[in-house]
Amino acid sequence: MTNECEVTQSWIDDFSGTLPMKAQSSQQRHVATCDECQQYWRFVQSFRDLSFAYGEAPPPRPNVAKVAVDAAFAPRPSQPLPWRTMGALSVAAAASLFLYAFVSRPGKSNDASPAALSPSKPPLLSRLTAAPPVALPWVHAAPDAETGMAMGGTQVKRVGEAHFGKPRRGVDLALEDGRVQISAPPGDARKYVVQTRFFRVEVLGARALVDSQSVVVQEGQVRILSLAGRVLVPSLRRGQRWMLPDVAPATSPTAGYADLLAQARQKMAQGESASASALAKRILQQTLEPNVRAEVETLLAECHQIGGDLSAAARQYELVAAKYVATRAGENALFAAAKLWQSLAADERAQSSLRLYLQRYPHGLFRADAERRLRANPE
Amino acid sequence: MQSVASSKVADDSALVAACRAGDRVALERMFSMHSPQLSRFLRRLVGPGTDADDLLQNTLIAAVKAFPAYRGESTVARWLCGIAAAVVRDHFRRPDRRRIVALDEAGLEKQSSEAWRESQLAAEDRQQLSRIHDLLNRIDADKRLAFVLHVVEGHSIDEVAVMTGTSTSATKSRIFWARKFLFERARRDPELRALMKPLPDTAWEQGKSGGCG
Repeated sequence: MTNECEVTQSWIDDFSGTLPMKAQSSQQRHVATCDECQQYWRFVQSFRDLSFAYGEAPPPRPNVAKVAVDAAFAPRPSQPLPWRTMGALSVAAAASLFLYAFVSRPGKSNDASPAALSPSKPPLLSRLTAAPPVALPWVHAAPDAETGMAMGGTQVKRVGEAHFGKPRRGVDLALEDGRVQISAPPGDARKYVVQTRFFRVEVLGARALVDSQSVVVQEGQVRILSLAGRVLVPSLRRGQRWMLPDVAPATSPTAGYADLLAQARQKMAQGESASASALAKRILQQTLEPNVRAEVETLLAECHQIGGDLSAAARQYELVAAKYVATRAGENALFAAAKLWQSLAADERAQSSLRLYLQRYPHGLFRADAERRLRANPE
Repeated sequence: MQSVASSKVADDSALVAACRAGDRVALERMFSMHSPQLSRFLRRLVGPGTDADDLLQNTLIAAVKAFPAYRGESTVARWLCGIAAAVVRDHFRRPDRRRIVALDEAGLEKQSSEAWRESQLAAEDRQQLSRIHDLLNRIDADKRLAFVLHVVEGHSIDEVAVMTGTSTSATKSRIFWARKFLFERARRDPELRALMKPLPDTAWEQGKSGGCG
């Protein structure tokens, strides 16, 4: 079978005849001379005729729609609650009764003035529960490098730039972007829970580096769970690294950006940097995850570069580098900015960027190249 | 003809609005309107040997569940066809499908309404169609579905890609491999070779219309 036969048979398959007339006539000429394609043509025609003849049946049962709707709306038989749920409910009910009876009975401790409480005998509630949740002003604080934050016995340390969100129930630290180091001393009895956008890490008597994509254990061992509470890694030990699989969750808020991004890339490949830039800006108006935002902002810099505005491109790269310090995008952008400044003969800015790169990423991908460039253009 | 189509769309819009408001009777009416067309579509997809009414039932149940997600971006008919395609794909993948085919091949007399319906097609033709679907049975479910949707139903490759939830290139590849397999086997099959007997030269210039919509 020749390549032309394959093309012709695809054309025969194409029921709607979307090929241009010229192509159709060339296919027809081929069919007229090729036995195999003629056979295929007759076979496909017969298959279609037989299928349509078979499909022309009397209408389906008249009540088919009603039966389907009834079946879909039929109540499902109730299932007994799993024993774990039953146990949890029982414990919760018992605890509520206990607290009501001995701790917060109306007219007793709750109504009492602070002076009435004996300092030597604190209320039972405060003795039963852990330290009450306190407002965490630092979670929205402006990022600053290398700030240590003590929380209970656990030390939290930003590594580079990190952004935090509002912690939820059962979560001590909501990490939105960036990287933190968690140091929980071995004597601490309470596990420290860090939640990123995709997973949750439980640290107990361990030290680990956590970012939105990965976990590296420096001391001890940690446990990694999904946001739904399923255990992903029961025990990640010292020296081990776990990375998030590439697949993003189905409920990702950035699901709609992909088409626009593909269009922007296509436009950029065609040299239409203005259109690509406009599309990138449209994408940036959406709610995006940090890695996607970094990608699109880098694309914006590339658009400037393709469009010939190297200075704007370098500035945009610097912006990306400053915003996404602890990511690969930030590293790439900083080096790209340095290269662009060099090509623009802005040696001072280039050297500054290169030095910053080496300082920030001492084991970075472009370390050797950056050192070579610095040596080539010393101050 | 156009007015009939437009009035049908208007009917659909009114019924969809009523369904959204929670009118169960409207839902039944909408499904009743589309059931004959959907039944034909399903029968063409699966061929003889399968009770298309069962698949229709499953399609409608799935449609009831999926209705809250229907955004009205396509016609109701096209939306139902997409659901039917998914139901058929599940049916092709089902392990007990082979058992059903084996019973049919064994020549056991059917007691269901299916036997009566199949009698509408000449025995020889039905046999040939069964042979084709037997060959298709040996192909991967996704390839089979893509091939039948494209070749028999006349959906474009892009439409098939949307209906099966894959890329255009993957759909092209599936159709290519299904065609290659089917045609090679059909040429070796003495019964199916009869379908390839010569016709007047102008046969391939004649088009055909139909499909799901």
